[in-house]
Amino acid sequence: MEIHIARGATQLGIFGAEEITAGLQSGRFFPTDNAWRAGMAAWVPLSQWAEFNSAIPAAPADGGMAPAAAVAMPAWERGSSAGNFFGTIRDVILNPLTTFDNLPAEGGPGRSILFHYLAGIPAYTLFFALYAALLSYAGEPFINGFKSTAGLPAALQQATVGTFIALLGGCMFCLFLIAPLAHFLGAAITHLLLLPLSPKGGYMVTFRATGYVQAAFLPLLVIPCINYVALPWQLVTSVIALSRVHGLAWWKVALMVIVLPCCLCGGIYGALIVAAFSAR
Amino acid sequence: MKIGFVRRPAFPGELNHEFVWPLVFLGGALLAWAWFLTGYQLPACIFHEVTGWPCLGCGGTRCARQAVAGNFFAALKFHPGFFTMLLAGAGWTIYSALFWLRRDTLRLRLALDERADRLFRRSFIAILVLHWAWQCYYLPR
Repeated sequence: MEIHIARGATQLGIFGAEEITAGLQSGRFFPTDNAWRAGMAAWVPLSQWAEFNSAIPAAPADGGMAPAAAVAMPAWERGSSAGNFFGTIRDVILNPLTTFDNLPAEGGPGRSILFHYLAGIPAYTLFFALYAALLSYAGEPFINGFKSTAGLPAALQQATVGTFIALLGGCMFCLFLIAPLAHFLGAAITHLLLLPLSPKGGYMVTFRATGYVQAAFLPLLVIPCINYVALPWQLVTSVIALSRVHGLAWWKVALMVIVLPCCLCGGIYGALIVAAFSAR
Repeated sequence: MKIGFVRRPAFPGELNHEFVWPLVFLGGALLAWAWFLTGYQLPACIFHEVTGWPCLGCGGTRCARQAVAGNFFAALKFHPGFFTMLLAGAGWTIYSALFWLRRDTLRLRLALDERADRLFRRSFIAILVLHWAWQCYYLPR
């Protein structure tokens, strides 16, 4: 009989009873994994399946920690390694539901900032390389159009394609330096918006959750065309992350951190447009 | 190897696919409709500008415009992948509406064992390559 296994929010697949017995003994499956087979009304943890009782290893006398793989959190929180770095990017993008279930409440901003910087290096380099190539290849007409702008400083009117590439590089470098730090402010605004919902964690939890989401998506956001898909998914992931770490309903988080700012900014923008048209 | 569909209850913590994806599909359709009404074009594809070759997303907007106009065969030719996604999105939205109307508890899910899952992943990469080859052939025409 085929048995479906799920861990957290992820379905692991369909397995035979012998495979599950062996998996429980080898540590591939955990007694806490949920399982279901045709005819059952609901999913039940493997520990409650009579047929697998003999395969479940006895709990350590000291109450033992759960295996590292079973504790769902951004892998980067477990240590700095290439595996954890790429694992965090993959888990945040593809499996945010489980990844943010157990983000530790304690801990400072250090690991999140380090992750942000490490993810930023390839992202900003790629962005610079792409746009430098574009400027070298087809930048002349664009730059000539820009130089004809009225009131442009004399230094910019003399600028060549190389100057613009150097300027772009400088801007990217400055952005790279300040982006993770600017995140402190962004996370503060996000946390302020969440305060009416009584979030479970403090500001630092919001900072770390949003930090991991933003950094994981950075390399994707600079790739043309992919960014059309990555940006909306980043918003969805942010909502999932914040709802998981703060124990809030996702729609309340979406309302507070996406709909409300959009309405406010849209309202201000609309008011400015109305004011500009009235003044004419 | 097992590939098929199964109707089963949701497991604890499972994403509510019958709610989220119809919402994404309808929201996306609404945004696309509003965008088309404005008459604006999307910015030119940088990959195409630099290399002269289409990227995997090229032709998507043309596909959507043709689909909205009811020219389904033209839409399929412009971007087979995007057109398939539109069909799948519409199909899933209809299924989800029926699911909620019938107050069903069993959800339709794709059931794959490990071998089928591996095959699906490899096939997906092969399909992407074929898709890109089609785009390189058809879009410059």
